[in-house]
Amino acid sequence: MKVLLVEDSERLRRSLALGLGNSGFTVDTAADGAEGLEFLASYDYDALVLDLMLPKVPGLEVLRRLREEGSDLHVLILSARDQVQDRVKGLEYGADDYLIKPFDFDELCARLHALMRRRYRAKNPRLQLGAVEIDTSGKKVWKSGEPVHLTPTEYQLLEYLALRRGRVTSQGQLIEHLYPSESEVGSNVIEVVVSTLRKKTHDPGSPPLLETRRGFGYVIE
Amino acid sequence: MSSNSSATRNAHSLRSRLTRSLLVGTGLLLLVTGLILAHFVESWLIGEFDRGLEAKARTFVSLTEQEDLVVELDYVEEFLPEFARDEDPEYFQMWLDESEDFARSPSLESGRSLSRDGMREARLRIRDVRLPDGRDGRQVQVEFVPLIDDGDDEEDLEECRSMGFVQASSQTGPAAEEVVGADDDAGDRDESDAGDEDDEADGEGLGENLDPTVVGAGYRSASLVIARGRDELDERILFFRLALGSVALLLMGAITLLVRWTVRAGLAPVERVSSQVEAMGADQLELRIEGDPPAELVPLVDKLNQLLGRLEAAFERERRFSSDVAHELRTPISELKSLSDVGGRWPGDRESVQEFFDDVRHISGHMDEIVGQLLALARADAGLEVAAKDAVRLRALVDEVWRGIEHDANARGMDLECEVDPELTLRSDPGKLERIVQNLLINAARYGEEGGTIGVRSRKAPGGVALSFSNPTVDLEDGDLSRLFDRFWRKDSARSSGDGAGLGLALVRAFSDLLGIAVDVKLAEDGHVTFTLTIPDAALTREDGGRRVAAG
Repeated sequence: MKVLLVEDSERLRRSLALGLGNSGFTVDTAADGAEGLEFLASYDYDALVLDLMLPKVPGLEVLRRLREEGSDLHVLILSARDQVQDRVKGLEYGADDYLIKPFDFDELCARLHALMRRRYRAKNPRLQLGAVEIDTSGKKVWKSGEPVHLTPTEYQLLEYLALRRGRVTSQGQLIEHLYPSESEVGSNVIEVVVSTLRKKTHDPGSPPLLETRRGFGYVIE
Repeated sequence: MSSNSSATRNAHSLRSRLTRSLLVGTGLLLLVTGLILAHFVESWLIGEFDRGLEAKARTFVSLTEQEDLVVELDYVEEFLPEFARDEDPEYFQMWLDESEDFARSPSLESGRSLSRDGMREARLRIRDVRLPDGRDGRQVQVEFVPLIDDGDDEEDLEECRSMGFVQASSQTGPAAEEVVGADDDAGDRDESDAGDEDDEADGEGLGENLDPTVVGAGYRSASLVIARGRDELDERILFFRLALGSVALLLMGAITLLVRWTVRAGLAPVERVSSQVEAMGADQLELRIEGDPPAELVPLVDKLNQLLGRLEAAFERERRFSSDVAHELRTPISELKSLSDVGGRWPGDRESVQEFFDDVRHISGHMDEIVGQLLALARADAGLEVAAKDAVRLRALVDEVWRGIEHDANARGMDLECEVDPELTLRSDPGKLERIVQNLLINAARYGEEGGTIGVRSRKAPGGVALSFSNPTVDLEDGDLSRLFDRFWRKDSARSSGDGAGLGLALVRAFSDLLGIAVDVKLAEDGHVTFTLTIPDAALTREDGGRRVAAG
């Protein structure tokens, strides 16, 4: 899950990015509204965590512009306790959820996961792919009832393709989704991950899980 | 109106006191007036009655004649029927020479007599009496000398006139006639009193007012008493009293209503004010007493409204302070929470853990600064700050403050250039002056252009000494200057640095006001911003004592 975090407090940015990263999200961060808009214009995200009190361009304005351009990106706004009017406006402008500062980190994670499920229309956190079962909340995978150990990147790739079941995802999209936007990533890193994943999820009695469509990308049917 | 507070009781007693005194006053006035009126009217009524009696007496006197010591009363019942009727008759009785029962009214039974007083000097007297039939009455008593008649009135008249006498008229009253006094020859009168019928007038003028003693022997004197029932008189008096009484009662009733109404209407403004005040609660401090109070209540209402205004302002300050604290602390608190949540979840990351402790230290320092500044501002707002007076050596102060922040300033490459006169000494509040200098220097160090130099200078200025703090800035604009001293205002770039709350300059202003120091800010073309404190001469001279200054 790729998330953009727009928050002006440097310490908050740092700790949230760390925590979310450890929780299986890929996080981009921006320190003000203008920077946030730039990121939004350049990359695709699964969710946006947006603080309302931002320098340069205020949070509400970022949201407004985002919706004006037709984006239906899921947005979770962060606001102070006394900013009821702003929260209401935020929801009216099209935010999906809000959290009041100071908030529990666990709650932020849970709400982001809920947004993800909505995005992929998977109300049930459990996905069944043949012999492979994925628990998207617990981030666990089983093959024929036996737990399978995956690295965070492997898990993210599997989950992403599983949620986009039936749709072909290109290598570029996968890179963008799995890694911070401005990081340098080798072009064959995806191939390596896919290959390892195939080995781990291989089930003799079932057809292969991950299929390659030459020239287009990968897909789980 | 149901409360029994002393205030409510007083409001009532004011109204009832006014009402009572007005009613008692008018009541007494009415009473006195009534009594005086009654007295005069009754006197008049009685006077009328008496005049009737007198007239009747005069009639009788004129009907009484004597000739040669024989007295005749020409009483004709038909003309004076009142003395003969059965119902409520009048009575008369006449005596001659003081004792001889001469005439009596038909109504007066034989054996009964009217009462008679001994009259010495008076000729006529009227008094209350009990009538023979038991009724209350009034009687007139006249002492007179019956007219002397010699049979021929005309001749008598001629003779009198020719002799120079004027015949007395039958009128009561000493001023009624001219009586030419008897000659000295009066004493030589024919003294025979035995039926001298044709006694010609010897010329004495006579009338009933003639003193019998002057007249001399040969003439008889008479006493007449006429008595009359006073029932009718008493009825009239009673009727009049009742009428007067009723009118007075009606008047009293009307006055009572009028007084009640007037007092209530008069006190209505007081009622209005107090009911407005009663309706005010601690949660409605924005209310004020409205309306157009009368002149007497104006000072009260104005003062109350003033107090309410001050109360409201105080509550507002209180509320704002709490809200400011909460607002400003939310970010540091969120930071702490997030850092500990995440740090606790993944404690294995050593670098993060080390960073965490540094962060916590910074954050608590930040919170401390915010709370301290807010408190100081709140105290200054409420007028609680007192400006002490002590000797302060400016140069030393600046140096000391700089020492405290030098480390953090150097981290951004900032350094200080101080050209303050070392001898310059103020008499001011050292603590507050330190805060002012501190805030100015911290601002410069935090938000000034990196690597720049902060210049602190002193110079003579009109009215005192000017102390200036100047540093290069990056993104300060002319439009920002007016907002610099606003609470919680920060330039965007300052905001995200994570330090401060936008209160430093607000505090500088508040404390400067308190100390009587003027603060000014200017932005030069090259981006240098200069804050100038103008310290008045008065602070430079030696003065004693602490000075209490109320701020705001």
